[in-house]
Amino acid sequence: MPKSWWDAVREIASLVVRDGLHQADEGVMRRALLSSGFEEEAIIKAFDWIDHAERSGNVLEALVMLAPRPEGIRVAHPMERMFVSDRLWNEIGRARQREVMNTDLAERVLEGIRALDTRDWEDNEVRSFIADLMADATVSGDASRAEQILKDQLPEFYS
Amino acid sequence: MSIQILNFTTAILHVASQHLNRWIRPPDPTVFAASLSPDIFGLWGGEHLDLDLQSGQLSEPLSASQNFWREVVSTLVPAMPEIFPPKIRSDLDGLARLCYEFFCEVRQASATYLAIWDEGYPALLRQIVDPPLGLTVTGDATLLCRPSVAVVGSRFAANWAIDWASEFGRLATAADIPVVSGGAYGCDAAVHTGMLTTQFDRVPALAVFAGGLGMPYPRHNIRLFEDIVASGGCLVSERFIGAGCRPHDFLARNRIISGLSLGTIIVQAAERSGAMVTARFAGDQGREVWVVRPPYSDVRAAGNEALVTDGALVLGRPVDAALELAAALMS
Repeated sequence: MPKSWWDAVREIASLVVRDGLHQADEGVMRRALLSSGFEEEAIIKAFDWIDHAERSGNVLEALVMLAPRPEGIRVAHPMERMFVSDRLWNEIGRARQREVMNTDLAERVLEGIRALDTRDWEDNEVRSFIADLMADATVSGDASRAEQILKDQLPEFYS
Repeated sequence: MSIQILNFTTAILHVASQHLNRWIRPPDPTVFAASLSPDIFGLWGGEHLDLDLQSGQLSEPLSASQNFWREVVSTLVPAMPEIFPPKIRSDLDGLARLCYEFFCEVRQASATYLAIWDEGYPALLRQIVDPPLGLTVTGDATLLCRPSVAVVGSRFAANWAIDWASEFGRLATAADIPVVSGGAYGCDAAVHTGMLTTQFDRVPALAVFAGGLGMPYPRHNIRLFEDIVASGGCLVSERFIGAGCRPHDFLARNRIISGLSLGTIIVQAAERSGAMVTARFAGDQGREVWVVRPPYSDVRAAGNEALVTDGALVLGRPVDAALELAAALMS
């Protein structure tokens, strides 16, 4: 089955996030997509979509949302360490270690807080914020299970 | 007198359901009245409880003592096993203490309490499948009974979504359309902030909390919540005053947002998001769902496209939406 234009968009997202390619490196991206098996028509549609997305605001942010999440050690961006409270950072780390949050969910939480300065957040706000984002992540209906996991694995956080 | 007994019964059920963390079906008033035994009337006649309950309102419990609650709970709960689950009946003293503490907190917060069969409880909310057994409200509780529209959207809102919500908020205030939202970052805060930037004396804004009224979330919007109350709006919660937010509380809160309103506007929604849950609740509750048309193709508004595909009505400019909704609410 030929790869779709949406797969091409996701591949472009990987090239930007993983390999650090810039939007201006369109020629390099096109060659990479062709060598990955994408057809010319799909590549054209993908770049058209990105042009439209660029007008919606921050195309980089949109592409980061699409990029596949790498497993393994995550290196924090300096801006994240500056604006994310230690309290929140520690709780996310503990939740990941205890497998309450997988990598994808942790990235969604961090996406959510990138635009916020959480340095002066209190415990209850940290707790509520993570609950809010986990509710979004589990809208398939398993929110009660998410709460139970949190209570079991992080009782001091979800008393 | 049966309505008085009904109101106390549902207040006890509300406190118990919050404590047990499970929704309990409220008794049907007609069935309840028919099932009341003469013994209950006799006990309730003032001789046993030594109370004046002519008004049928729940104002008295706000200043009632723990002994009062102990008497009420020990009178009503054992007499109605079909209404009170076994887990509630097993610890009457604990339940009485919870009721007393809850109403003390309501009084200290200067809040209003509305049990489900109170005349001040919103009729639209009572119609949903799983209505809150009670609500605590600060500000103008009468807004709850006016025809309103809900506006919800993504926390990580695009600029176009913020602009749309703000502008709609201003126009809704000018048209005196009550707007219900969740007070979250992004679209929710934008619509209420837009309402407050108008010069009108009274702003019909309603914010529904996932936690208790004493635990406003997000904390960064505390000033917004204070301004809503000061400008004639209100804050609403189903929870205990000091209750924090848990993951499923946000979803439970969303059913109240859609249930209070004649329809819900989705400004911007990701494909899987709380805003989409609110839209689903609205549909299940038989309410209208409107969705804003994004000005550009935006991956953050994939939920908007999905709702259009499912048949949601599309809204264009805020001014057109406000005119359309004002006409719909008047009819």
